[in-house]
Amino acid sequence: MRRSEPQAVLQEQFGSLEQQQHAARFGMWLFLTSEVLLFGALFALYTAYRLEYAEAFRSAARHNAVWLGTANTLVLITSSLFAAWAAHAVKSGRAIMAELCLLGTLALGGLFLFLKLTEYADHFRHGIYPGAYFRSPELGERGAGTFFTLYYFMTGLHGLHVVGGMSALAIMLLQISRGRYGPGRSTAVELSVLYWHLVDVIWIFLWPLFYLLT
Amino acid sequence: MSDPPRASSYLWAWLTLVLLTGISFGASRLHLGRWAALVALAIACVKGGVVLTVFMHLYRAPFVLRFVAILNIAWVALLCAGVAADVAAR
Amino acid sequence: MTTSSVQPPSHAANPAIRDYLHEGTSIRSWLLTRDHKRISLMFLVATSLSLLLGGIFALLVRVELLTPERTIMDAVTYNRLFTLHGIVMVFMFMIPAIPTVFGNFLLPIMIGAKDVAFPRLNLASFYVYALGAAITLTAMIAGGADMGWTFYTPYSTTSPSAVAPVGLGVFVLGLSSIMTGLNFIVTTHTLRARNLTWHKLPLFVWSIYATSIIQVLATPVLGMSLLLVAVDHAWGLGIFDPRLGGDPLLFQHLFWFYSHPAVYIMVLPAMAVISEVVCTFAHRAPASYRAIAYSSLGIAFVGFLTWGHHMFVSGMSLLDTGIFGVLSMFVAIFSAIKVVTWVATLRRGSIRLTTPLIYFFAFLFLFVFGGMTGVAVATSSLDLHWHDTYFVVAHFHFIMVGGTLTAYLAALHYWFPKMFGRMYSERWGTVASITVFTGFFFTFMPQFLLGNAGMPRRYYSYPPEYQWLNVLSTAGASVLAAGMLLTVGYLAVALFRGERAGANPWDSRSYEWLTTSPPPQHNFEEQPSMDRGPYDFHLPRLV
Repeated sequence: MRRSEPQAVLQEQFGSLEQQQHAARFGMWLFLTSEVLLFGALFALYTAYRLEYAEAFRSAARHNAVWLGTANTLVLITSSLFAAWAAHAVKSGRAIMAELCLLGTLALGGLFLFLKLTEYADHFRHGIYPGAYFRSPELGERGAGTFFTLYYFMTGLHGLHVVGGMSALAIMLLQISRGRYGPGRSTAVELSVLYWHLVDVIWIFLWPLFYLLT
Repeated sequence: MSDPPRASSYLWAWLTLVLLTGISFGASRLHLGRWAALVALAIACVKGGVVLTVFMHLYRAPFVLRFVAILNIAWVALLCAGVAADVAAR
Repeated sequence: MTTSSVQPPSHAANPAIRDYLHEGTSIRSWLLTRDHKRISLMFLVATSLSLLLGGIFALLVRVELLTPERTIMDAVTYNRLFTLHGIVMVFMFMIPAIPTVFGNFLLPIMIGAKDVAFPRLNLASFYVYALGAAITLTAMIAGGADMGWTFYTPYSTTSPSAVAPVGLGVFVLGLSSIMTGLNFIVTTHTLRARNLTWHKLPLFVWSIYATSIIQVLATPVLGMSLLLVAVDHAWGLGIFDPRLGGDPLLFQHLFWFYSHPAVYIMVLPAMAVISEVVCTFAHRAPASYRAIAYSSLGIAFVGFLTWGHHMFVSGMSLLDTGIFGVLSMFVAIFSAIKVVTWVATLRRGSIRLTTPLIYFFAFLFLFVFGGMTGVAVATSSLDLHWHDTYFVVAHFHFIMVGGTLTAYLAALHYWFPKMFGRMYSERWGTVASITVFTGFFFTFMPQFLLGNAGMPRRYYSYPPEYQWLNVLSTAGASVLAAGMLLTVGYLAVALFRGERAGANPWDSRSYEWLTTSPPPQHNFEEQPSMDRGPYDFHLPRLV
């Protein structure tokens, strides 16, 4: 069965499809900008507290399982590769390829979350909770508690973004399999993938801050 | 909009990212002391740059999108610098 | 523009085309509309209600302060009321008001577009605003919140009141603000009519555009800091709590990284309105188009570099005090460029003194006076004396409330004919505008004196020697309220009984007057050619 090619619909306020697509991209980039600044506030807090508690932050970071963090970095980078390929495949009309790539991205996203949650569970076993609930005999109270509050907040917020990105990509997967997207109509897929890449970029910065600077 | 980059360019970007992850990991084991943070963040910036330019197509994007990205980075830097300058000098 | 494409003054000549008010009249056609003009009107209703609420809270606060001790309420209620007043006025009126109402209505028309780039996002931003307002108000009225609009930690994270839901509500309001800003930036970049280059845009567009940039870049930081406060309050995470190693000053940094630029989110749109009003009623092109246009961007930029001047007495480092003290002066330069250009435009203009122009003069006085006192309080040594006194309260009410409110009213009168197709009563307009200004002046002028004499802000009781100035201030507030009610009254009458307005009743040259009043659903019956500039007063009349 051959379905008709999906085509983008021109909204009346735009003069051309190119203009409409450019506007959509532009809007997405501005949205990503606001997302980055949302994290930016947390990065600023991290910078300030690290200056205040340099030694405590180092020993607290040593407590994080660096191999888990590194594995997760590689997982996300690879998921980004699949996502990029998926967008490329949709644009060149290879729906099956796009679906497989998106499945790969989703699987890796799931793996990322699994590893992250394993890590949280491990922290909880050691009494490492955020804020006032922080109880860790081996780490000093001052500074280390702040490190882990930031850790939970930043990785937790990032985790929510991973879930958000996966939801968007899952919807794209569903729609591609229904033949709703193709070479003539791919902006939504492209933008969802763009969002996924941003999630990747943020993790690229979280990784050294919480795992490497020991 | 110009046509999308070839699929193989993504593969190269991925390889670069994996390599840089390895370098960053290795560097962190060397215990560079006060340089460690600088090295780790510099590598992270390069990696972020690779994702932005290749995966997110900024390499071929119209000027305005690149401008948005640069402005964005500058603003996060401004926020961090303003706050850090206070804490460091207090 | 050639005479052949000149349109008749009223859509009556072409009955086939209905104006946007009559394009569907069901409730549904309003609530689910994607027409930027209808969304603008919904925002007009919503922000005006917020203004009314905030005004009532302000009056109650002023009544309480009539006497040195208890007048009508206890101290806890007083604290909650000034918090309600601050949060409602800042986040629900001043920040959204001009962009969402007049920006929404005019931006697409001024660039010759049929709508904004993302009409559905535009509608969503209205409902997100409504949701945020509902959460904030419910939380503040049911649970109470007493930390003032600034949410300062550690008080806000330990105060036994509904801080967390209020923070969440303001976070949601911020989302709406980001959506509006994002939409306007993309609209300005992508939907300008052919031939309409950046340097032919009305000055209104430049200013709203600059505002939008701040909205997108700054609001997320406020969102995050309020989220942190909310989480901290709910679960005691202590990210800003000194007992747990936190640093309350960092909250102030994040808060003012947004909230200082937020002052320009309020005042840049006001400047947008003022620039249009001045040119039209001076019947003259701006003395320097580029000076006004570029200084908008300059203010948006420098506004980000001055947040520390709110923290001079907080224990911030001397280094930051120095840096932020110096940088704060730069904002004054850009603001002064604008003021000088407006005044120079009026000079040699052929002035018609109408209600919007009276509001311009009110704006000019409040802005210059408020701005000069702003330079004074941004001087760190002087700030030691004035910080957290009524001097600061009077200063920011002059510049940001006075600036925004007078411009909001100027805009409402100036574009009333365009939005509703009717004229208001010029005589009542004159009376009301003078009343509003007089009321405003006598509300806040005594507060400068009170602050200079040492009365701290937010205090429930005060020494008796401050009483006469407080009574004067309350009297001024009553006059202000009367002026506002009068305005509501005659505008409501004008809405139904006002004289029909032509397409261009003010004889302006700007593009929104090229279409009928009120405009049709897609703004122009036929795409106008924008060959001439928005201030070409040397060319003959448009319509």
